[in-house]
Amino acid sequence: MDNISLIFLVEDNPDDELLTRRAIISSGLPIRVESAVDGPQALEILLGAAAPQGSARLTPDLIFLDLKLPRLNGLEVLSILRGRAETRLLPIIILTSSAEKSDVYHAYERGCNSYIQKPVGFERFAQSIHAACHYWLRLNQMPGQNKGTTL
Amino acid sequence: MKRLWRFWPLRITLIYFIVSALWIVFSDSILNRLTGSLAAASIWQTYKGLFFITATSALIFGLTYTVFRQKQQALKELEASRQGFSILFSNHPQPMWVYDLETARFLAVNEAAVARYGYSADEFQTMSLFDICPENEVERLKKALETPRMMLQESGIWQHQDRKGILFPVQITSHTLEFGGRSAVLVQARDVSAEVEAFQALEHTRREQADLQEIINRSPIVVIRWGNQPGWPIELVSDGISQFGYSKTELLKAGFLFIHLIHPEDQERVKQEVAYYLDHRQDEFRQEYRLLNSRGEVCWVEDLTLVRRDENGEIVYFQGILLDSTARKQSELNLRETFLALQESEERLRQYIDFLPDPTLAVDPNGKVTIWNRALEEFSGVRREEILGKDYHVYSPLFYRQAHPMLVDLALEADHKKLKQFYPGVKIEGNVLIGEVEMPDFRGGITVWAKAAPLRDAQGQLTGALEVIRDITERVKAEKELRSAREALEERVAERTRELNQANLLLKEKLQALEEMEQTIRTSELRLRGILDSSSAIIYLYNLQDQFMFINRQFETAFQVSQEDILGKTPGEVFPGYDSPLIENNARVREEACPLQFTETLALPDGMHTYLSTKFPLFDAAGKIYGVGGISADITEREQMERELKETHLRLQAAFDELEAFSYSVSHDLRAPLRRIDGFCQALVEDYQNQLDPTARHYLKRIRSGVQQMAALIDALLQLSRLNKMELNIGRVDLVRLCREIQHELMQLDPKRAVNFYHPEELIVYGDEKLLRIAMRNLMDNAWKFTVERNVAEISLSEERREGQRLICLRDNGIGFDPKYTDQLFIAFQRLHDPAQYPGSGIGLATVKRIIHRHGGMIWAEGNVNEGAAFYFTLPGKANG
Repeated sequence: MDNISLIFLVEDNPDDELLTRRAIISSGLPIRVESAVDGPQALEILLGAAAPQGSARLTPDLIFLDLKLPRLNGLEVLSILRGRAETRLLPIIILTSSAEKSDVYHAYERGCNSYIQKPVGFERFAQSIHAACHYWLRLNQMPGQNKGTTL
Repeated sequence: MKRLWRFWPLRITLIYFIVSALWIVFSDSILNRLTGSLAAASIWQTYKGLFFITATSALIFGLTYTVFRQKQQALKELEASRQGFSILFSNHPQPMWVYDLETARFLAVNEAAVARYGYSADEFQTMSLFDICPENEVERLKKALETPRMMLQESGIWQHQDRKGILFPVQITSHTLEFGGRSAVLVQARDVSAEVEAFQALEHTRREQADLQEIINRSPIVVIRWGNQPGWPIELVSDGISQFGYSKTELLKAGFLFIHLIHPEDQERVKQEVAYYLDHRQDEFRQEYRLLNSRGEVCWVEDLTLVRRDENGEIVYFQGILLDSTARKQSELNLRETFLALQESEERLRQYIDFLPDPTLAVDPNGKVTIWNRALEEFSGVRREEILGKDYHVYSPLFYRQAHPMLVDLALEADHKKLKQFYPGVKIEGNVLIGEVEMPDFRGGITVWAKAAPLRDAQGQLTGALEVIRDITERVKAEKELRSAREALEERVAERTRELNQANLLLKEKLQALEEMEQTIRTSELRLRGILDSSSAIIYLYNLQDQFMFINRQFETAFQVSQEDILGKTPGEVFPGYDSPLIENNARVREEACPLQFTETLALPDGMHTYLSTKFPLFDAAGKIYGVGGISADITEREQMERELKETHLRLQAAFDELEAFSYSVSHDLRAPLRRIDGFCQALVEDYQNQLDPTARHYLKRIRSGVQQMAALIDALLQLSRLNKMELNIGRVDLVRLCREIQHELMQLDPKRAVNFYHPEELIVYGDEKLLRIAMRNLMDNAWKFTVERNVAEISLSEERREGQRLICLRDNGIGFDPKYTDQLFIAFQRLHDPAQYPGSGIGLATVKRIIHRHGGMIWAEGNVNEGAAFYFTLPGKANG
């Protein structure tokens, strides 16, 4: 628990990004948050497409992914991440306003680990975020377990 | 001299003579010299004579004895030899005899002859060769006896007969000899019947084999033998191969392979099949393939192949028996084509029947339905899929109160008694049942004209039955009316006759009566004309030349013409360019002699018009068609409306699709800003706790509560928009149970309320439980909300019957509403009460209404201000039927 966990947030709306950060930080866990504003940027950071040596590649402990993103939507980003060896095992949680059944179905089908429909009330939203962080970050730090093998 | 000397009796006699003479000459002189005295000499003389006689006697004895012994010996040998011959002769296994050459009489026979010929030895003594010779060989025997013969000769095969007269072949060997001083012949007869039989059997077998060969060569089959070498060289082939145009020599030429005879397309298959059979140790198998004859034509053959193996199991050769099966194959193909054609024609028949305008059904000999045409589907309201293969027990209740044999079943059975019982109005004409049938329990009672007949195939075998029906309820009614009209007419005619009789007497009166009659007819015609003219339909009559005989006023109005212009003209003259379609329709009506319906189009100055025309033949008193009548209705507007309706439907569909896309973005995009507002309010409260005064904090609280309301509203709107696309999952639902669960939820939210909920034990309806729950939740919410001011709220769920309809009612004792605004209750966002006092989305009742409508029911409210409200709804479905 000495390590600071890294959470990667993909969210296009700066207000939402700010509020989600707030919710994450308020969980009280030692967490650092990095973010991207659209699909291609997220992929660049996670897969290191910008730095061919691979040195700049970011390996977060948990990813929060919005579905409605400009240029490349969340489901497409999810598919690409699950298709690549380096990100295949990362825990990814869909964080979205949509409660459409088809969205839930496609997200799980493409391999997300969890699906959170953002409640309108901020307190309940923060609670959902806390619960997700506690579950996935603690799980990853159990002794004798490598990152992401819980898949 | 020398020869004489060799003859030993003469030699002995000579030696005796010389010795004796010497003895006589010299013995006395020697004696004299020795003795000297005479006395002594005479004594010696006596001794000398005695000695001589003794010596001579001894000599004679010796000689005689020798001769005697020799003779004795010769006699003994002779006897032995005679005896040996006799044994050989009599014990010889083959029959032997000796016969006299001159008389052909038997002189001696052996035991084998006695045994073979059945005569005793004594009997043989009295017989001749001719007694054992059959008649047909007598001449040959005579000739043979006369021919000079050699010492030993083979006389070939003769036929002899034994005592019983049985003939048998013998091989004769003869030997001439002296017998008892006569020249005789010793004969050995060897019985060769076994050899002859064997020979004959051999000959027979050989002939049979030749016959068999002949049969094979003359039969259509071809026997062919080929070796187990690649390509199968032909080793043997029967003459039958000529039917394929090949000669034997050609095929038996070295290097000619059997595979060359097989059609190239079949070679691989034949090889594979043979390999398969050999693998499975099946040494006798049948194949069918094509051969190419010498002209290159294809012949089908059936081949029965036998595999011949030696004792080690190695294949020696294949023997095939080929039979030309081209003709059979051809007939197989023909049969198949015939079968397909038959099937096609049956299918075509089925299609014809399907398009018959009259309801038609057919059954198989067991009464199971095989055809149920489209017209019958329409007539009965039941699809053929549900009926095919069923018998009348299943489908007759469609038409009658209970299972009841159909006419078609009676056509199968040909049971007159049953027919009388079930169909008193039906007659039998030949094998066709025809007549009127009443169906008192079908569509409120109808009469049909029905015709049924058994179906038979070419062999007269019953294959089923067919029934055609036609609804003639209207016609029967019309006929009934006509009959009574005719009766009335007859009565009138009788009356008129009486009048005429009277008129005969009074000419003046008659004339008057005639005038009156004419007047009546004119009036009647005018009346008829009046009726036709006042009809809103376009009515017209054509004669046989398709010229207008009559048109009504509507015709004049519709087409802006006058009667004088039209009568006597053809439709082509009135409506240029439409001559042929209109006249064709008339011709069809005349041909079919029954009313037909057409859709006819005409171009009028104001555009294209469409008419639905019923055209009917006009019959004169003799039943001959003298024209065609028509009644047309302008359906242009109706068509137009149908088109518009279709367009509207498409527009609606598009709008619906748009709405769906809209509701999706609502779910996502409307919520997001709300959450941000709430989030930042929270941030303000947390981060600026100390800088906010109580009023500011209160405002923030108000903002947040507004956000919550808006979120609830969005959810409700979403739910409402989704109702239309949700699929209904109809099942049995107990509304009481639903409402009690909802009540429980409401109580938990607001435990301080005192609410009495009245309900029956259960209230079963049929509907989608999920949707009904939403509806009841909204209704209960309402009742809960608007009774908040009552000390004890009373809510009741009940069931009522009004005008035969089952109504479900949820009633409360709340603040009620002004009946003036009843219609606005169910419109989204329409509120009759202060939202601050009675919070809510404003679309709850709109949602309820939509759910009830989706179930095909209706909903309305009854109530008065401060007198509570009652919401009624109906739910069709099983419970109502």
